[in-house]
Amino acid sequence: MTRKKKPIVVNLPDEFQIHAVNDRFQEFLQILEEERPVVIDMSLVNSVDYAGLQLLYSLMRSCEEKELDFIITNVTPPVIQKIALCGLSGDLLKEGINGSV
Amino acid sequence: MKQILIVDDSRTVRDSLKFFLREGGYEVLEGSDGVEALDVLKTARPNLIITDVNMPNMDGLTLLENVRNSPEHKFTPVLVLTTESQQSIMERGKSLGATGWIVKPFDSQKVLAVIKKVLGG
Amino acid sequence: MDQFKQVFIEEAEELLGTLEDHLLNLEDAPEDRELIDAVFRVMHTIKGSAAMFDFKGIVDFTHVVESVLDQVRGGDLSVTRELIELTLQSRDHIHEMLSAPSDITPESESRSRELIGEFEKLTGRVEDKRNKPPAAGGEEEESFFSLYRILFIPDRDIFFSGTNLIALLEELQELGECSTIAYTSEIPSLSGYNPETSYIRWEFFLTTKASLNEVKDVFIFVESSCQLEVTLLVEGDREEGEGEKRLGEILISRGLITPDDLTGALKAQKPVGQIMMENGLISRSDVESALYQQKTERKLREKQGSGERENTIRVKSEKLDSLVDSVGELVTAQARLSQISSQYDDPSLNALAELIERLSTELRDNAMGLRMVPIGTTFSRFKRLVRDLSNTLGKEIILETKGGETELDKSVIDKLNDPLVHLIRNSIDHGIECPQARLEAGKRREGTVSLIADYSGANVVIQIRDDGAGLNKERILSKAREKGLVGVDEVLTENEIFKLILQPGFSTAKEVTDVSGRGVGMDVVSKEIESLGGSIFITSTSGKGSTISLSLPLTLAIIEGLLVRIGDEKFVIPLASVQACLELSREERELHREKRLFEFRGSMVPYIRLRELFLDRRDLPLREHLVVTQTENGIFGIVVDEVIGDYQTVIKNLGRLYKNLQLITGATILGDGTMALILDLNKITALAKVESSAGI
Repeated sequence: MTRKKKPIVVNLPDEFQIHAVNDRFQEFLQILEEERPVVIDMSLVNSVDYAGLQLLYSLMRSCEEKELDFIITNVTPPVIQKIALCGLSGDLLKEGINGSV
Repeated sequence: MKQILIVDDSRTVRDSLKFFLREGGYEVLEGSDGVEALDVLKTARPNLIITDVNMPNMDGLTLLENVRNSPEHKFTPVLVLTTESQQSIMERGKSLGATGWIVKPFDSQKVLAVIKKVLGG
Repeated sequence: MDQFKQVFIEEAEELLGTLEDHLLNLEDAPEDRELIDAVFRVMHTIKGSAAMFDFKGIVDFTHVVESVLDQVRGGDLSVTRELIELTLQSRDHIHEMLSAPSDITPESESRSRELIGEFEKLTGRVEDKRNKPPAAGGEEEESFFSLYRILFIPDRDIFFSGTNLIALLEELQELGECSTIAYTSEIPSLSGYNPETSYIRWEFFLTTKASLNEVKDVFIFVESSCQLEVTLLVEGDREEGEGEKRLGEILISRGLITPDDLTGALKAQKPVGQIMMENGLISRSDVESALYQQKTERKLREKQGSGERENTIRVKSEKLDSLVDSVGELVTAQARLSQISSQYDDPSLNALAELIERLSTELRDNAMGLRMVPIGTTFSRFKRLVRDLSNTLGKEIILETKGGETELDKSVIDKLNDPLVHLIRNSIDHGIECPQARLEAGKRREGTVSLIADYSGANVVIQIRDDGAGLNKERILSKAREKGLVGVDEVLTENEIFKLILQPGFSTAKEVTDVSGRGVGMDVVSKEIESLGGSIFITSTSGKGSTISLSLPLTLAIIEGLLVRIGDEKFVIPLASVQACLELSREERELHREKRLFEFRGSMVPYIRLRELFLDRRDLPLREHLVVTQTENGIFGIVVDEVIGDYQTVIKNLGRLYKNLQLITGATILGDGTMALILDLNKITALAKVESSAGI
């Protein structure tokens, strides 16, 4: 049912860090209400911190609960590195996920 | 370029810190006490604040409290300048939300190492 | 980190229990190589795990004991009474250090020194690690790779200290080769999320040349805002003589890695394995994480090699509880299914219902079986108690145990320890006489205390038997009268008199000896047993000894009952107390209308009409049935409208609403979805007794 719906694409800005995390949180809450698949486009993001990654994780978890597809795409090398540092690659950077978009 | 605000009433300390930090590739803002620092923080959003404790007008720990209570800066890392004997200050600083400390006397290497620890590479 | 520490403490306590058993057995068989090895291993394991959790005082002390034991193992030192005594004392000392908030206090230090001094007297010279610098080897020569395990749990509010955790993680990676496992189960979905809160916990396996302190320095700024545990797992390996070894090489050269090992290790090792299970999180870092478990796994295999251990897996008892709960609900649902299917004449439905009935019965039995543990472990714990008490009191006592393989629900066993300790103390203190007195009475010098467990229907009976002086009926009675526990004219049966010693306030502080008077009174024993749904019987023959029998239900969760009906209400009578079911004839009803007695096996037995207790209606049905029950208060008949039949059920605790219902122990949901209350016969009959004696 939900699969047929057009995904919402979220373009995250250059910085996705603790300072902005409250605003992003509000934004994510609204996105979630639309009950549509979520695509997080990270092509612009150059700096991310633990607070940002953790928020992404929570969004992913919310999507799982609502059985909505959740995809993180176009991840830049510095962000990939941070995700790996935090030990979250396995969850946030699932293989083949880009292909399914 | 990352921006660092240094707050100390001693000009010697400020200048030497400034020198080390510029050498390390950081941009430096200055304040000679807590009040001046808060003034700077009205417009600037430095990546890090390094502050002395004993200063006229407003001491470093009060500055720290103000920083933690401000919506713009509450998550900004703050390093407290202490001396070896000021263990209790480090503890109080930590309890007020200090990120860490730099023990005086310091050299360039030590300062940059601590900053890297807090800000990352 | 604290939960890991707790796990360590629990495990260490278990090990200390094992150690005690081994030592006591070694006393009887000082040449037993296997026992000597076992004792050494236990001490070694305690030392190893204490080191992981920074119990420095324990590490240093156990190191000394371990080295002494190593001499014994190597045949340089023989097993003597003194050695065993000293090792037992060391065991106690470790136990005390474990239970204290810190294992390094001036007292514990001085006790450690004292014991080490004693060991030195035995061995001539003992290597005392504490004279050496800490962190064996020192930091300077540490130019080889070591493996550390780091557990890092940032405080929830760590963001408010301006801490950049990514910078910290980077710093850690720079020290060497680092594998990171993030435990993310606590991250809520957005609805419960606070963006300014930290939810992740980390575990790192770091291969580095850095020293322990250097590793800890990475965390220096966050020490006060996180939980941190840094453990050295594998020390830089010099024997191999090769300069730099990568983690993988270390693993393989030690023959540590096979896929089977990995899964086995994950199962066997509690902290990490459990967390992973709990989080359903097996990440790419498994290999490194398994390394750590490897060590434990190898030790485990050694033990298995010596045939000491069964292949077991440790599971939290709460998990079992919730399994049993679910199974209980399944059984209830299944009963409902069977009932519904019986109303339809559909062979395939009936077959399915039967199959599910069979499967759920099997599942129920298995699930219940998981919680059953033999009482033997509890019994063997008392060896030490008896030994120490005999020494203190100057008595000579042999402890005999029988039926150690008898299994009881773990929750029952756990609660049984204290009452048993108290009863054994009581037997030894008040029951068994001094050697001289025994000889004069024509008995053997040594007294015997026996612990006997056996099945008896749905119950297990545990007896604490002594061949001491026995209870003095007259003295107990007169003392009870003195204290106003018994009326002057009251006539009591023998069992009732003996049970007076279990009454609160019976024994006074003055008489409580050092041994028996440790905090709890005998009344606590009866309360505890009662709370387990058990009962106590005491028999005693003057001059010959006493036997205290504890009758306990096999399990707290399942009850075999007799389902009965009164009006529209259904009740369950615990089957264990049912002696017979009879019809209450009209004649009998008329005959003893006032006294409410009926004849049963030649004697007159009182009966209680449940209808009057619960329904408050006096109109009697045409036919009534009598369930004859054996209760604490003697044999009673319980009058019901109808006996429906046997019923096995899972007890549900009553909610708070029902807390004041005195006559009920619990409730159960019947197959048709209605509720039946489980009767507390002891309370009901006690009530009737009071009423009838008031009526007379």
